[in-house]
Amino acid sequence: MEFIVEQDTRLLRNPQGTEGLLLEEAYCHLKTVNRIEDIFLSWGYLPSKTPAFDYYDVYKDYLSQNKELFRLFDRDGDLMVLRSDITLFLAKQLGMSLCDADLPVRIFYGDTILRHQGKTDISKNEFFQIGAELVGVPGMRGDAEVLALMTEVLDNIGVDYYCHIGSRAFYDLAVEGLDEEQKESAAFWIRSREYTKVVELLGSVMDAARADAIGQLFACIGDSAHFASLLESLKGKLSSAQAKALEYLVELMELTSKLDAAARFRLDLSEIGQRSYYTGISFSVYADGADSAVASGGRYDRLLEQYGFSSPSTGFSILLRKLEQLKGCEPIKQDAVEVNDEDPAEALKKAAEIRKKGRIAIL
Amino acid sequence: MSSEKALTIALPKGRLQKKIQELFAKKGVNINFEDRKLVAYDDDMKYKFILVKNADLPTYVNYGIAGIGVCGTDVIYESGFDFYKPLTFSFGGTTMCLAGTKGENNWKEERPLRVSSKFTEFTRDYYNQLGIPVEIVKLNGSVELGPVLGLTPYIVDLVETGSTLKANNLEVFEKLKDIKVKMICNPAYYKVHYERINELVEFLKEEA
Repeated sequence: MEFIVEQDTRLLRNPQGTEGLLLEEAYCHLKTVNRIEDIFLSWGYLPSKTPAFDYYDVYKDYLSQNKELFRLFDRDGDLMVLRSDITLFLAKQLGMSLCDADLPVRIFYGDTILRHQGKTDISKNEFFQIGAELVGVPGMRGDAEVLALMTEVLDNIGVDYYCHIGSRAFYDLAVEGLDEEQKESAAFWIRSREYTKVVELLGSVMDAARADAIGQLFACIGDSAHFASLLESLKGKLSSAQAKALEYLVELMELTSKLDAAARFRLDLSEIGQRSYYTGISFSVYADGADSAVASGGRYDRLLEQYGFSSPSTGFSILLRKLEQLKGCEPIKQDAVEVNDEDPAEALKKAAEIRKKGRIAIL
Repeated sequence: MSSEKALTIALPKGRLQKKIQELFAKKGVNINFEDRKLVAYDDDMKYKFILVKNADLPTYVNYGIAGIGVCGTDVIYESGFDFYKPLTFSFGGTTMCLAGTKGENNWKEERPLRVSSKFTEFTRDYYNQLGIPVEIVKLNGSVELGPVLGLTPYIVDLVETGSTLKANNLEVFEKLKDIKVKMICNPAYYKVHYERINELVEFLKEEA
């Protein structure tokens, strides 16, 4: 095979989808992470670190998208998976170590995950996920805290974003009568916003009026007032549990209405959660200029019990690099002093004194 | 609250471009690509149009370079990307067909089915679902040459009037799928700009 360059430099390239981060860009990233961690700490959240890989079998029920996983065999022949979702890995760690006396637990994380995104050139496989989880605070208070915390972080990063909030709880009630295959189809059509297909599918297990009402609700995006008025006109056609799940969302919006970020919230029932562990609200955040969601989260009350400890839980995670790419990197402004001294020993001493006073000393 | 930046819309070069420009013109929006330029704005700067190769259009929309696009369901399927498809247009529809040399319709017996096609994803998935083993040769254009030159006896290709097939002594053996022209949206772009996109969809809806 003909080589374009003389030397064989085939190994001097990155495997598709990985990235290195150096110097100014890495500095920028580090500073952003520090700021976000300070916000978490100021809310009483404490840090965590999850293992980089774990047994695949532990998570396989929740990781249905096998083709996005990086898996490997360990030395004992067990199938392992590289961390692809910190919420899941953290749930296992918490499930294994928490007890009632610990609750509530406020915990945050910031780490790399690996997800194979596909065959194309510019997609990344390595992502930096930063987020937080509130364990042991059920219902609206927990949901409101998590939304408020997430929006404070997003406001601090400084991008133009919208948070679309839906209800996995409502979705589960809506598709109750369907079999597993039909549920998968329903989820697909709802996410694709193909409402005639949703109504058709639901119509096979409920009366046409209810199916149509549910279809209209899945199709609605808007602020709380807009959604509330649609709900008012349709709730007579829903079951009481379904209506309650939606009224919950309207109440949650009222609770959060005084936040600065309230104008960025939209109710959007097509947000049914990318993972199957959600049980209550499920939300995604979109930023102008980003080609896919930059953050997501929700309530997952039955996740921790899979790993040994039952407790309601709610949280969110942000794909920070996507937001950093939108914001760009500011040039480093460091309070730095260059130390010039002919005597290297003196220079070292001078530099140390400068650093003691809190400035940067470069030799 | 979403910024009043122009909505970016990708249009396909080729047979569809003129039809789309005509539809917009009928609704009062003039799209004018100056002299070999591939980017154009309408008079009110509400829309930014980019002219791209048909097969690449889904790629641009997937990465958000254009938030919206207009293209056939054939290229959407080949791309493998997920989009919202809020509008189907009445023009530009074709049919994906299995075709071959006139009078030599033996596809039901010949195994594996040897097929040339531009649409490898579609062809593979279609015949896999039927449980028919298929060998696909990827061609990028002038697919009719496959049977004419003896590369493969069959082709899977779009058929509109059938005149290209006829001219090459080929005929349609099976209609596989109706292909429509649709508006596609990057899902994240839609979520940010849904109000203006819904307006655009209403605006472009053709009278039944």
